[in-house]
Formats: sequence, C-alpha cells, structure tokens
Amino acid sequence: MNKILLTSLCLLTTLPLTSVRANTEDASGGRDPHAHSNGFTLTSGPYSMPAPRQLVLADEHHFGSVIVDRLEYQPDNEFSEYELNAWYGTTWNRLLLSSEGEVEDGEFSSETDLLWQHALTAFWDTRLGIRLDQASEGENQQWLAAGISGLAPWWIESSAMLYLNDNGQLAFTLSGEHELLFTQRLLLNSQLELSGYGKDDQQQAQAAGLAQVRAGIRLRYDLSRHFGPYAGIDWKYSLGENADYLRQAGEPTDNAEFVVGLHFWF
Amino acid sequence: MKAKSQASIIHSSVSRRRFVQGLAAGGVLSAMPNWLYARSLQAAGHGTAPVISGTEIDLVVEETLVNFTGNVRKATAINGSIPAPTLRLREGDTVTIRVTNRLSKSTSIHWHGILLDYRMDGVPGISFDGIPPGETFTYQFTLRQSGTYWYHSHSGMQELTGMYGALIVEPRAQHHAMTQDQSMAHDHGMNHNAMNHSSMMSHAQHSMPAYQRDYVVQLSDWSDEHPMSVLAMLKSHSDMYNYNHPTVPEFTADARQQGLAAAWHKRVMWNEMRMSPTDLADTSAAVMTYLLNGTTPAGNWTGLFKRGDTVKLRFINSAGNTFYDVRIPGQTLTVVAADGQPVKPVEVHEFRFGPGETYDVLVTPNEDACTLFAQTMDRSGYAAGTLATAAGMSAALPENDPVEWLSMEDMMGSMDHSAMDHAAMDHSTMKHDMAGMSGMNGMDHSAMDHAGMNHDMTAMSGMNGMDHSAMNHDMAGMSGMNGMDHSKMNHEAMNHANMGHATPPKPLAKPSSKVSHARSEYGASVDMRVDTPRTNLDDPGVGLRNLTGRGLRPAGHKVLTLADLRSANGVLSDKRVPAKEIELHLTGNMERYSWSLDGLEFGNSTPVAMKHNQRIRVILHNDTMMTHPMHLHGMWSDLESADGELLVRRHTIPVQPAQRISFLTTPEDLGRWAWHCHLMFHMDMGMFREVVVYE
Repeated sequence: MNKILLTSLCLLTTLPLTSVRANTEDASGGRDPHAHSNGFTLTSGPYSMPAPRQLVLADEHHFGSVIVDRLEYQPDNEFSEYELNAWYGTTWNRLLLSSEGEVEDGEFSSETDLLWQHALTAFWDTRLGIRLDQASEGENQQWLAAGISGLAPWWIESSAMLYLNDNGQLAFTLSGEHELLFTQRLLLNSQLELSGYGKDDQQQAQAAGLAQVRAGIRLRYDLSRHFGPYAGIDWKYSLGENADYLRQAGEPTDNAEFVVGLHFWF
Repeated sequence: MKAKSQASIIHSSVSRRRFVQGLAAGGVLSAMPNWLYARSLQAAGHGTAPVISGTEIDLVVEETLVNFTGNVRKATAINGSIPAPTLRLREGDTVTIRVTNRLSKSTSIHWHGILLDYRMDGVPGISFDGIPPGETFTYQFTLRQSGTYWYHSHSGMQELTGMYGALIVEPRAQHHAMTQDQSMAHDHGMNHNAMNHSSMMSHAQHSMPAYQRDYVVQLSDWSDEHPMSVLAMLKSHSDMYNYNHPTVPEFTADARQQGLAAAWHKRVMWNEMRMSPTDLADTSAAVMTYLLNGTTPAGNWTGLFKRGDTVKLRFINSAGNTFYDVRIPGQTLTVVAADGQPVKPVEVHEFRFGPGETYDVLVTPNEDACTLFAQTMDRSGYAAGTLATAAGMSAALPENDPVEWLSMEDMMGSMDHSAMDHAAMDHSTMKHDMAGMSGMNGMDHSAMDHAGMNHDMTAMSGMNGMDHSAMNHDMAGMSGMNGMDHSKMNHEAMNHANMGHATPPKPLAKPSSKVSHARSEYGASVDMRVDTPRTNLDDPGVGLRNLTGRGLRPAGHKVLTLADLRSANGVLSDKRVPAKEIELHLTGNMERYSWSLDGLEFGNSTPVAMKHNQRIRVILHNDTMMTHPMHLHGMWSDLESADGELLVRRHTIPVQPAQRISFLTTPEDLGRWAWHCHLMFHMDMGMFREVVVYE
C-alpha cells in the first residue's frame, strides 16, 4: 500500500514539472501557430516598437480571489469550522492557500495547504507544495503535498491529494463537490471527502487505510453571487483502527450534525 | 439636470427595476467649461452627443461623473460628453484632430474602420506610444472612404467607461446637401423647427434611396463596477453574471413535456462536456446597464420624424461586451450599409450585431411612435428608444424573448452532411474532438434533425479518395441513429466512372475546408475543438432561429444573416484569387476564463505577417461556443462564401460558435495593426493578434 502511494506521489510530483509548457507547446502534430509570422515577433521585425513590449494585456496580469467556502457553526456542539481558498496568479500558474480548520472548546486546529497550482489540461490542474497541520492535541505536522484538482464531468469540483511527512507517513484525501440549482439563487451543495493513511503511526493516532468518510449537503440561498447563507447536515464516519483511536479519545466515530453557515467570496 | 441627478443620489439602494431600466435623466453630471464646446454645435444634453465637423478638431479626454443607475460613478468623457461628440467629416479631406489627455493615465483614440497610416491608428504599443497624461497628440489623416464609423479609446478599459463616439464620413459628392443641416443628427427635442430636411439628400446621383432624417443610434453598455473588477470576477467565477443556468424545475418541466429520457438526454452532453447551454454572454444585466445614445431605457431617447419621412438610422454597436438584437416592432428595416460600406438594400425586420459592427438602416415608420428595441443576446436586458412625431411620445415596449439554449450546431458545427465538400472530405479526421468528452455516450440525438441529414450523393461525381473506413464519429451511444434517412441516397446515380482526380486550376479559388488545428490548441488554454465546422452564413444565431415558429414574432419575420449581405456594385474592387491562405482558430477556456487565438494568448503570440498589397485569404474557425466579432484594423475584411464567392466588405466579422468563415483582404497600408475580438474582456484576456504588413 505504502509503496503504491509513494510511487504515485513521485509521479504526481513530476507531472507539473514536465507539463510546464503543455499549454503552449504540445507535440500533437498540429499546425504551427507561428507559421505566418515570417520570423517577426512582437518586438522585432518591420515597424516594431522598441523593446520592452508596451502592450501587455490581461493574459499576463495577475488576478486573485479569496473564497470562504464554509464558515459554519454546529449549534448542538458549539463547534465552528471553516474552509477557505485563496489564490493569486495568472491563468496558468497560481499560488493557492487552501485551509480548513475548527474551533472546539476554545481549541483551534487546522490543516493548511500552500500550493503551486499549474494548469495541466483544459479542466485539470496539478498542485505541489506543503501542508501544515496545527493540532489542538498532539504535535503539529508538516507534509509535502502533491496532487491534482479540477472539474470532472457533471460539474464535479474534484481533487486528489497525497501528503508525505518526515516520519515517512503518507496521507491522502479525495474530494468532490457539486451544486444542484433549484433556482438561480437556491442550490443544494453536496460534498464528499475520503481520507486515509499509508501506514500505522500510533503516536499520531493514524492507522493504515481509509480513515474517514465525510459527506455534507447544504441548502444555500445566494443573496448575491458573492454571499449566501446555508443550512445543512455534515456527516463524519470513521473507519477501522482510526475509529478505534477516536473511541479511545472519547470522540464520536459516526456523527451527523446540523450546521448553519455562510459562503462568500471576493 | 444636475440638481435632478443629485437628488437621485439619495436613493442609496437601487431597486432592481431601476438598475435594468436606468435613470430617466441619467448621464454625465459634471458641467464642462464652455470653451470645451467651442467646436461643438451645441452643448450635450442627455442622449445627444454634440456634433463636430470640419478639418481641425480638438478633443479633450477627461474624467467625469455620471449617474445611470442611481449611483454616481466615475467615467471617461470626451469634451464632457458620453457618447463622445459625433464627428462629421468629409471624404477626401485631410483632418487634424488634436487629442488632449486630462486623465491621470495614458489614453488613445482608435478610428474604428478607417483606413489610414498605421501611426495614426491609435493602438498604444502597436501604432504609437499612447497619449501620456497632460499631453496632446495630433492625429492627421486623409479620409479615403465614406460611411458610418466610430472611434474609441484603445487603452485599458476606457472604452467601457464611456470613451466612444460616432464618426460619420460624408461622401464627397453629396457633402453640400449634408452641411446645410448638420443639426439633424443630434436633434433631440431642442431644435424641432430646424428639422425640415425634406429637400436634403435626394441621392439621385447615388443609387441609395432618399431619406429625410438621419440619426446616429449608438448602443453601448455601462457598468457601475469598474470593468477591470468585472474582469477579475469573471476570472474567478466565469459564470458569475449568468442568471440563466439550467435548474431542476426546468428539468422536471422538460420531463413532463418530452419524457424523462428526452429531458435527460438534452442535458447529458452539456454536463459531460462541462459546458453551459446558456453561456450566451459573459456579462448580463446583473452588472450592465444598456444604453442607446448614452441613454437608459427609462430615459427613452427619442428621434423625431414627420409622418411619411424616411429615417436613416446609423446603428453603431459601441458596447464593451454586448451583442444586441435590434428591431422596431411593426416596421421593416432596409439595410443599406454594413460597417460603413454600402450594400445592396435588403429588407429585414431584425438584425443582430456585436461590438464593433455598424449597420445603416432606412425605415419609414407607419405609426406616429415606434420603439427602437435592442435586447441583449443573453436576453437579460435591453436598450431602447423611440422614433416619434413629437417629443414625449412612446410606443409599446416588447418583452425580452425567453432564453434559448445553444444548439448542437453551436457545439459541434455541421450536422448537415449534404453541405460538406465531399471531394476534399477527409473522414479520417472526422471526430468530434472535445477536451472533456470521454465517449459521448449521452449525445443528444433527440434534437438532431435527421430529416435534414440528406446524404444525397447524386452530385458526387468528383468523389476522390473517400475513405469511410477510418470514419471515427466516436459516438459510443449512437443507437438513436435508426431514424437516419438513407432512402434518398441514390447509389445508382453515383457515377464512379467520373471519380477522376482533376486538380482545380486555382487551388485557392475556394477556402480550404480541411480543418487544421494549431498544435498549441492541445493544451489547457482550449476546452473544445470543432472538427466538423459549419460554413453556412444563413444562420441568424442562437435565440433568433425560428422566431415565428416559436410564436415570438409574426409570420414572415425576417432576421438579417451574413448571407443576405451583398456589397453595392463597385465596393469589392479586388477580384484577385488569393495568393495566400491564413487559418486562425478562435479559442478559449470558459472555465478558466481564458481567450486566445490558436490557443495562444497575445502574450505568447507572434504577429501575422501579410505582404503589402497581396490578396490574402483569412479563415476564421471558431472552436468556442460564443460568437466573436473579429475586428481587423487597417484593412478591409471582404467576406466570402464557402464557395469562394465574394459577398460583402466588412471591418468586423462576427463568427458564430462552431462556424468556419473566411474573408479576403488586401493590406494596402504598411505597418503594424491590431486584430482582435471586439468583446473587450475577450480581447484583454488575449484574443488578440498583431498584424505586420511588410514590403
């Protein structure tokens, strides 16, 4: 199991490197897009203006966005949780900050990915970077992170990530998210996330295999395209020895919670 | 007017209706010093641009405050006016136009559709350095053409913030009649007594029908948000402004009407491709207010006429990002010019045009008031005004049409195999290659018109080398093809004896039909490639198809298509067979909001080199599901049919989804020129090329 995961991680890590020019130079045998340039460039050839090139359009600009996917509260547990994604960069290369965290009894814990996201194909990106886990109990962990994300058919926002820490532990998460529109503003957001580990690590309460399945449905009303409150159910189910660890700690292993929250971005 | 507009600021929350309709008295707020109007014939009222004529013109670009929606915003005005002053120039004149920049950033003016020295074309970074703040640039050029054109900033997003105006070049022969009454084009409830033009413009010496009134109808779009922030929103959420997404209730309604399977199949392909069938425009009334002569629909711009008058309307689409479908309900429109150049008069009831295009239209209203109605292609809003015999009159305002989904033709191109050039047909490449289509299992055959799929091979005597063995339709689920009508396939008449290999004597007499994608189209910048494009020009486009059949227009309602346009005699002077053919694909990735040509954005591109005075064919092949108005600076685009027949002279050619279209051009002026999609957000994202005309 671990070897397979490790190989996959290595493969994923090399993907972005080999695909750096995938969007401009693909050896698919098509027509040469520069065939009619006569050797001229934007800064050389007859009537060209002296370099540096003055005309720089938005394809070379940097854009950015902060998207708070979930800022939510579980009234029954007095438990708060957030998920945010912020990016900055061009169409093809972006710096991505992806963070999930929770506050319970005043204790804060979070998982934060800092990633280079590179456009690989029309709908898929590679991701490479680091993850920092800040734990409320136990020790903080640092991971190398690599994976792919994108839009799968049927408009499913998907990602598959692998993480490697200095204990040689591998972790993985697979996630998908879909929005079903009842009106132009009322929608049902569905999320599914699977996560697990490559090997046992008792100290960190991690066991090899699928550790947790998490599913959520949230009914959201977008007051504007930027801002929408929602209510829904978030369900977490832990499996195998990972569930045992939770039981020992007195944590629930199968719980569905009512949540209310806000989705907004700018 | 100032007091009125200020009063409206008090309403801090803008009602939805006001946002769509706009303020009745919306427009430029700040009064400009009088000296600026020294060359103007009258000060700007709302919806009426001042007219400037002569050969020495001063234009001042300055920031101004406007209020179109109830919110005061900054805009960019020329001589204090939005739209900018209408320039009435004369063919053959050498004009000197001094443009002073009073903005805090660089500006420019491009004379859209005018042939001139490239250094006067006004594209910063290509033709000149731009006009820095505080400086004056002197444009000077000789007008070698006449007709309706326009001018606008080519710097950043200034055009979308108000920097656009009409440019009319009067033919030298009839100039005398025109100058006797220059007030006609800007008369708006101010100058009624001067409106008697019955003696003017009897175009006896020209073949053009006579008219008594002459109005510029300049359509544009205004956003209270800065256009750059609109672009940033699209970059993050490209469907941000689309309020026509498919919904569950629509699905259940379809299921009830058409059956569950049909309703399902209608949606499968879109979902598998991750394309939206309602992706008709990137912006909508959610962010735009639509203007006619700088006036909101509530402001009701009015052009006056006397009963029996024929009115010439010079429609100019100066919008940043909006295609308009224009009609005057109950009236017949005679199109007499396209992009400034005369066409053989064609009678229609409606036409679609995109940013950059212009149409001159004659109408003889048979009612005392009729509505100029220009709904947006995405049906989220409209610009409107009135033609009336007296100020204050109005006619019924039509409803916007329901949104029509993009069709299979828009996605896949030609479904009609009878229109294909079988001689050149290489079936081995015939696969519907779309980046995200795993197997097209759910292809919607319910909408596929098999009746029209006429494999009539009686005329296929020239079939050479037709290899069906490699025909890869890659349609795993094509079980629904049972209904294909092969009965008309007359195999007896297929004369195999004549299947010779005669090479046409002129290889470039017709545009090549062999699709050739650039290798740079196989990357992340392109979400779809069309391998079987449609080449017909008689499609009015999504939303305008079968209007009568859908009960939206009366019987006989005629919508203009490119196939209806024929240049007037003498316009298309260069009859040479092209010496060179350039194929360029219009490409994009809607999800990433990236737009390009051949999959390369401007920053990654190299110029297209054109030899001076050579006759050159350009094939524009649209690998996207949007219509792109492609504007080539500095030379004409002479549109041709798929058979190579020259049709009409344009400067901006709208290319429909999955369409392959071609034009011929003769670059008569040396230098560097811009060539781009005139949807500003597409242009700015990189759907832009430089052209070098070299000796």
